[in-house]
Amino acid sequence: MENAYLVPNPIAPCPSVIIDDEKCISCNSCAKVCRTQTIMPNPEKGKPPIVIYPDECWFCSCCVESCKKDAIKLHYPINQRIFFKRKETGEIYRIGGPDSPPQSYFKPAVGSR
Amino acid sequence: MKDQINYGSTPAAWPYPVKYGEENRIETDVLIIGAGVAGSMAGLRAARRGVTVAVVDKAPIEISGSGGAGLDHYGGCISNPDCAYTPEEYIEMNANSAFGRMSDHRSYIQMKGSWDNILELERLGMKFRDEDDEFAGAPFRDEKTKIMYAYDYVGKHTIRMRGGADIKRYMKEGLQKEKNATLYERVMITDLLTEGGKPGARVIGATGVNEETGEFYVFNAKSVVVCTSGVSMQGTSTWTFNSEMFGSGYRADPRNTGDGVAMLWKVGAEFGAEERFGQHTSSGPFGWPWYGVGNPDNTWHPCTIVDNTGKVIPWKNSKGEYIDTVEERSLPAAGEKMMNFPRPTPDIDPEKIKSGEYQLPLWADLTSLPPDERRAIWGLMVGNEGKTRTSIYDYFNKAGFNPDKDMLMCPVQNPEVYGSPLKDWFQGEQFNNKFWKSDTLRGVVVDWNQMTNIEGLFAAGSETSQGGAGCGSAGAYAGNRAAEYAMKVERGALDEAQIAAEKERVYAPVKRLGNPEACVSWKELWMGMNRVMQQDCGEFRTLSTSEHGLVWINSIKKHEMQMTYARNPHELVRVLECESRVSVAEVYLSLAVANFREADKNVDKSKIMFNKFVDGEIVTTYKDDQWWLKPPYASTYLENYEKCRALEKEAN
Repeated sequence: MENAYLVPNPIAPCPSVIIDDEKCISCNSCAKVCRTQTIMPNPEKGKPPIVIYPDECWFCSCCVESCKKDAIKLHYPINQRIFFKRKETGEIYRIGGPDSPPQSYFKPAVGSR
Repeated sequence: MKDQINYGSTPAAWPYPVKYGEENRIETDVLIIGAGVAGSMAGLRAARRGVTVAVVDKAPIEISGSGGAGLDHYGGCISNPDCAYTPEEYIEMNANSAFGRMSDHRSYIQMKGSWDNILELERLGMKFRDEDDEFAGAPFRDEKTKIMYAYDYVGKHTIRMRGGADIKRYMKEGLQKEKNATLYERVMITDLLTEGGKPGARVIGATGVNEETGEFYVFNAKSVVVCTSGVSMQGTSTWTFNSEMFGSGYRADPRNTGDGVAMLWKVGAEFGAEERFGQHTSSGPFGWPWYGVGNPDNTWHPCTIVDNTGKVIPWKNSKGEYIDTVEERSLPAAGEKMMNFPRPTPDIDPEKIKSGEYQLPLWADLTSLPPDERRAIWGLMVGNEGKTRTSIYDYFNKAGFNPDKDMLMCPVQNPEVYGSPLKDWFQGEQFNNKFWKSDTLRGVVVDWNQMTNIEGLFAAGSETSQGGAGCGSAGAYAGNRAAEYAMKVERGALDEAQIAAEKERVYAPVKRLGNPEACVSWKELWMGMNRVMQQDCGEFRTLSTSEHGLVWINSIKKHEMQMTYARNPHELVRVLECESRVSVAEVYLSLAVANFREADKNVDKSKIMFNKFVDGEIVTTYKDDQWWLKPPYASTYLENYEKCRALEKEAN
């Protein structure tokens, strides 16, 4: 609580890509596929990749799709978290909001590999 | 923010060996620049003709280009056997419409090859048909072929792309199987090489730089196909002069920086002169998520839209008649052979919003649709369109959204937007969040072989504004023609002085490090250049603003562009991409100047204007309307098409 530092502002409004160090096996498949070089391999071998250019991420999700360990998620900014309304009850929820209902639709996208 | 390195923390070492200036020299028969959907197909088809092919992309090919993030529908598939009309009919029907300008030999080539191209995708492993019969009996499904159509279930010109989210992965795997093709990824092509190093002379190769290692590439080729964004009718990011092209709300590939357009202009290739300027309607980086907006005109067609009180908005067909059933939303009006534009859409009267009869926000009500239509929109279209499989489909499902139970909120906009003829809400909150944009409808000029006015230089892209769908067949055709050209010409000798000069330009931002004057980041160059376009090439422009824009751009080129720096290969490539953008701006301003100058000359309005850059000057020429059906060409589309493909047919 007492500590404060002279640090610059965040590079981008939101962190874009979040890597779970516990799950990551440092295979760099996300860095290999990232077309904007948002994610780069860690120069220290065996360590998780570095999210170096979050300001260039356009959320194409190829990193998430390439990860075999489910270790990456995108941090969707507030603007992406729009509303849905349950027709029968009229209840309104927000994507990623605090009171959203549990997942109830589990079908994979049509034609998933 | 543990993973974000900022000032004050020790920078990590660059994770790749840095090899600035180190040269790789590659001899190939055909060089493909840009391996998006067009370039990948060009590479595949050229390789199959028995020539060697180098396929170069600045990103990993499995996700590169405009189609790399996914594709939900394959538009303009006019040559599919069940389509209600022929490419010739389509061109005639559209000749006098707003889409008439896209009716030329390039759109014919695209439409004619579109069926063959989707079959090729199928051979590559993309199972676009409903082979597991999930949609058996659905009105959009052909029970015999198991093909699923979109929008117009009678016209059948657009095929839903089951598995389209992975379209580029299939293409890359296909390219990797071709023994004649070599892939170069993370290599940005920086300029074209010509015979004697002269602009306007035959193109014999190109130079490039690697964004991981910084090493240099020299390709020596017999023919070159440019398949980068903006060489055809769709430019996406290429023509967007906005400073913020990233984030979840941004739709187009942010690396469509117009590298190809820049090098084509510099080498003296002709460009069509039709252009649009002004504020482009699109979602910004932190706007509404694309395709997650319940847009009933496009991806979400034919979704029911209700107002905030649950009142159902009635639909109108293309003739402006009210229609009652969900089925009619996907059928042509009585007497129409195909669905004419505008497609049937909900009739959201702006006056009814203003009076309070319809209350905002509107909601997209998937629950009220027949189950097949609901699943087609949510699972098939949203499940496969660009960026949507993970960022909309998976994310919203995990967040509790259920298409069988829930309605999705549409963005709140100015009432007039809902009443506009196209109702293209797929652009998100388009009028709340305007983008600066210039746009072209004609792109670079190519002949019936898809060759430009420069010998050995071919171009292919989205020739009918059909995005990823149109690109594939245009690329396949151009790849074949470029292979045939390579078979008949001798290899040109590289001009070492030209290579040395380009190398000097490419590495200048690295060499300036340590010079206190070199304080211009790639972002400053980008944003500064955008201001030129927003100021001088906006919605209101005149000859004087366009000329002033050129003066401004040239001043930046001579001054700030010589003060940029690059601290690693990533920044180096970004600086070079910004230099491409500066050239694209120059192309646009030049076309604007030419348009204004020519407007006073009383030229026959039916003539088509072309511009090219020669010795520092814009040279304007004209061709007759439909020049592609006049001598030296044959008088029908089919004759020209068959003639150009004669060798290909023989080879097969």
